Amino acid sequence: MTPAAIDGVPGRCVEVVLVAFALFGMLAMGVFAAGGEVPDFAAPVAIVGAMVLQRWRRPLGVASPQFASDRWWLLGGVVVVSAATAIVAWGALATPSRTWDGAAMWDGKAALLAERLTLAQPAFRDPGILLHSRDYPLLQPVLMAALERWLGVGRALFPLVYLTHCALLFVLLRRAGAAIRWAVLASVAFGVTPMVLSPSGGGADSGYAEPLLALAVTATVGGLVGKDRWLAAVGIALLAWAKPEGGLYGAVAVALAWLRADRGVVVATAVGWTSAMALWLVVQRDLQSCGRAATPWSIPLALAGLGAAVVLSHRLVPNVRSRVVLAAAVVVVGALAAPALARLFELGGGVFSSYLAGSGRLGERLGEAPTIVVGIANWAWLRGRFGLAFVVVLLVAWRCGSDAARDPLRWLAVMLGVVALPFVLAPFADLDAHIRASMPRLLCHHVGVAWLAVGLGLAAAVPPRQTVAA
Amino acid sequence: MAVAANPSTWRRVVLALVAIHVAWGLARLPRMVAERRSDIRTFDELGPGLHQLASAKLAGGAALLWLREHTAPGEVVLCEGSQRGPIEFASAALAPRLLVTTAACATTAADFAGRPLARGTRDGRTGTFVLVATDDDLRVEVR
Repeated sequence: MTPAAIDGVPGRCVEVVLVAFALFGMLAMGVFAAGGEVPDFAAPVAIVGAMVLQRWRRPLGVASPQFASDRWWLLGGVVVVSAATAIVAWGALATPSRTWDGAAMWDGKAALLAERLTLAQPAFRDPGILLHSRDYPLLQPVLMAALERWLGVGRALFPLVYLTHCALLFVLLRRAGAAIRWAVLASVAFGVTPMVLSPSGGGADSGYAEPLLALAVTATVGGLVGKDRWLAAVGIALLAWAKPEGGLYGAVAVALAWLRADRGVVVATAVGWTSAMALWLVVQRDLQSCGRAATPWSIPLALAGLGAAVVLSHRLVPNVRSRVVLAAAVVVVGALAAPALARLFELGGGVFSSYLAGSGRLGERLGEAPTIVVGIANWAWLRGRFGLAFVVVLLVAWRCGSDAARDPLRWLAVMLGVVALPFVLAPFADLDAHIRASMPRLLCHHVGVAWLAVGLGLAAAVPPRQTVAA
Repeated sequence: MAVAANPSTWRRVVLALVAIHVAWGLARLPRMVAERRSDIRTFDELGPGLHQLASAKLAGGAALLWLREHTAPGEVVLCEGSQRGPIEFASAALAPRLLVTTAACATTAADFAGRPLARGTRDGRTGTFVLVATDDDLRVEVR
């Protein structure tokens, strides 16, 4: 196989899958916002559109040379990831979801949407009908519904997401100049991480939306690392539509880009996040009100203003230190103003309001900070659910020789705080039970980024040899 | 520290840990297969919803099984009480039946959104079936 094929084929496939997810998500959310029904030709249109866009964009990054021994690394990587994908595919296709959220929350919506790809149906329109987490983002159910309608196997989404995530890590590392062996090693290490491959809640075939969200997180951070505007924008859009915490992760990505990245990446992330959130918040209002509320135009307008402010302030405040001070001030003011803003924009329903209401518990819960810190340490490092992923990443953080690895490491550092947030604000009385139930899932969102950081750290520590195989 | 001072030592330590992680993951592959096999077998025996209740060691499976056997797929099953715990799996267990709260539909109504309410006889009482949920159990009442 030629070097161009080794680096080009997975890169093109990964980009087509991610862009097709985003295009179909955008079409579906747009149609839902307009109160319509997504036509069956939308899925092939999204795939063809993704292929056209992928051909149109210029190649990114320069892959490092390859060597004769790399063939064996590639072969080993392909064998392991194929075997793991086969296990995930078997687990996903054998039955409907066998775990809590998959069965209670996601499968039901996917089944309803597979029947009719519209929100104009009784389960979404009548508050009397029991529908778990009515206002949760719908990307996973609409993708499952599209696959079900188009191919008859909605749950094929899960092995596809798993395989795409493994391939994405390989592609990101190759584009960052990593040798094939390090790209393969990081990709395989991610693929066999116990939590990722486990059949329990949050695993690749569990039916949870965590794998899809984790893929979006890795794509977003990969976009920031490689200054790949498309990837960053696509990743952020998928974040916003995959799970409620995705909106917050997207905001963090915009903030990190604003602090350090060039103008193009800032514009891409700001446009990606504000437009995806605007579309989603309109759909979410529709879900919360069971189609009875008028379209909340104030939300897209406010987000457009916020996006413009982000881009403009990036230009006006060129100094990174000044940006850090300004960002800290915005976070503090934003946190204080959050309840008032939520009232102003009537973001009153669902998980967001339950967490906002939790700000009253802040003082009391801060006293439990040690429990939360121990919970993070326990699940990240001690329980073995993530293998050695977060142990190795600590070593990379301690002695990182790569500028590129700093972006994923910054992401992980910020996420330590973000992961703790739900436990500080959560409306649940039993903190230990909440940590036990949620911490592994929250950490799972970032395990791809952890392996990206490790791969980049290894690539920097071991420069490619100069001799290229014939 | 010696490791910090010597990049090749640091690299070796990182590579060794990554190798251990990968070896550990590969060694777990047979277990991943076995866990799924057992999970799928239980699911096939119990069916959707009931499998999750059993896995989570929650009660209420008998009520869902009874409703599945004594109501038609096109009917509406009324429910009330907690919306946390075993009731979260009721939709999966009873699909394609709709679950509707008694606050939205009176037990005396004939239908909901064009679908008939689930009715019948249980323990000698005839009327509309209502699935009553608590945080850790489910029961069927006739009203």
